Amino acid sequence: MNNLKKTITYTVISLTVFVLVWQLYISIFDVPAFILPSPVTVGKEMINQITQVSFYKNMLYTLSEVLLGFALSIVFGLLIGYFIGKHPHIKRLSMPLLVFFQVSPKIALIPIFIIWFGLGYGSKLFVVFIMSFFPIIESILLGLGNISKEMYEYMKILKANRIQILTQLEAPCCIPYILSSFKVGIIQAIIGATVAEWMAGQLGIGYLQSFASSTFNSPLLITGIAFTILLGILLYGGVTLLEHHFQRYQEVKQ
Amino acid sequence: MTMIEMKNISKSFTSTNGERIQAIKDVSLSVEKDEFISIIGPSGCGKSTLLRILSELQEYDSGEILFHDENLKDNLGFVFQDSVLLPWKSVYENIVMPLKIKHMETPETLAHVEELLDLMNLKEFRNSLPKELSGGMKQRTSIARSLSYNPKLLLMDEPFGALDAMTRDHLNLELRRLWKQTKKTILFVTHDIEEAVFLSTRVVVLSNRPSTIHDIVTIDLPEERTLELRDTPDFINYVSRLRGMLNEQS
Repeated sequence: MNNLKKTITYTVISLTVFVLVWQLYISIFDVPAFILPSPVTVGKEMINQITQVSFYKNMLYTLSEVLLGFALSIVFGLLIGYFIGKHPHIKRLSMPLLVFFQVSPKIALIPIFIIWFGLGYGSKLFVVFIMSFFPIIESILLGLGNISKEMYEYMKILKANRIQILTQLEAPCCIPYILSSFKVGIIQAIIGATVAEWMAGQLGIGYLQSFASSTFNSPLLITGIAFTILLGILLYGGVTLLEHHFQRYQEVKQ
Repeated sequence: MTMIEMKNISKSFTSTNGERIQAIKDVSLSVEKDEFISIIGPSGCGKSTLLRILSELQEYDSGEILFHDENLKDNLGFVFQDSVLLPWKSVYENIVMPLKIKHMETPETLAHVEELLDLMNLKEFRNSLPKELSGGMKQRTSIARSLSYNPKLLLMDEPFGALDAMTRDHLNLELRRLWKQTKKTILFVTHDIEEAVFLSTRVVVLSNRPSTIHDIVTIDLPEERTLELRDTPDFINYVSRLRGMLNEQS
């Protein structure tokens, strides 16, 4: 509890210093508002936004893309990852493709996803899905690969069935790797969703930013950025809480 | 009473460069109830392979294995060289895990686990995680775990091979006591001749590859075995006889 208080105190101090330096810079160098608005202007715009229904529509739109796309990538990532991991030949066959998709700049693929899945919700969902899908597959392959031959032999001695091997050995051994991939995946998912919204469509926090940018509405742009960051922190925090819950399985990594 | 009869067991492997290697050839051995049999032999001769065949971790090419009690085969204990404990489970959870898998968690079996914790001096470590344990403690846990479901047959594959001499002596004493108290039949693979003589009722000496049984020596030493026994002429005689046999092999 004491630690939490300290963290909060330090966070408040560093944010305050940041805003002060920002305000000072604008006051001293007399920066025009369309290049960098003052914290006060941005603060006003934030209040203006959170009193409007359209803002919540945009936030919820992005949030639902991220959550639904992420959920789909978890379901398919876990199933396909486990299937690949348990079949050495399929693993060897799919490895080049996995590496290809893992290193390909997925942001650059968004235009083609828009062509395939349209300007609306579908293309964004697919971007989020593809962003977090590959890290999850990779994490399962890593987790399964780290289980020693002796562990499997021990299960065999006990005459454990396949389900027991999955629940008692393989799942616990994969959990820490899967959670790490969630951390990477959820941030990637938010980046993917907002960038896709910039490029097409008329809703979402990313659309709000692209609209603000094209109309030189810098206070709105910075507000959009701030709320994207807030969304990221909340979701990342959620995954961290999950990781905390499964703390014990981190032993697998040692 | 005979528990297991192995008749003419042979097994060969294909090595990484494609050669056929005959690991075991025509091994016949019968194991009596309540015996403590050690298997020694030159390194790489297939001692472990024999245990792995018995426990169905490996197949064999020809021969026959007769279990005089079918239940034995599905309910044997196996102790690996590495303790193979699950790192996220405590000592107690690790020991109880086989009972969970075998759906054998009853008040009686759980009471038996308490006895095992006591017997293996693990009481105060019951809530520790494996990483907090010394090598000896880990192996104690591993042994207790293999006994949790009360198997009649215990197979041990160099369980003390990675431990220091002091810990090893200590565990030898405890294993011998455990064997007498719990009335198990134990097959014990080791490369340590003294350990084999100290623990066993019989020592099986395997030859170099392809392994056959070179000789079986019955150890006729007092039932009550203490570390001092190792300085008696009888003990030293057994050791040098076995060492002589092994030297012939290599």
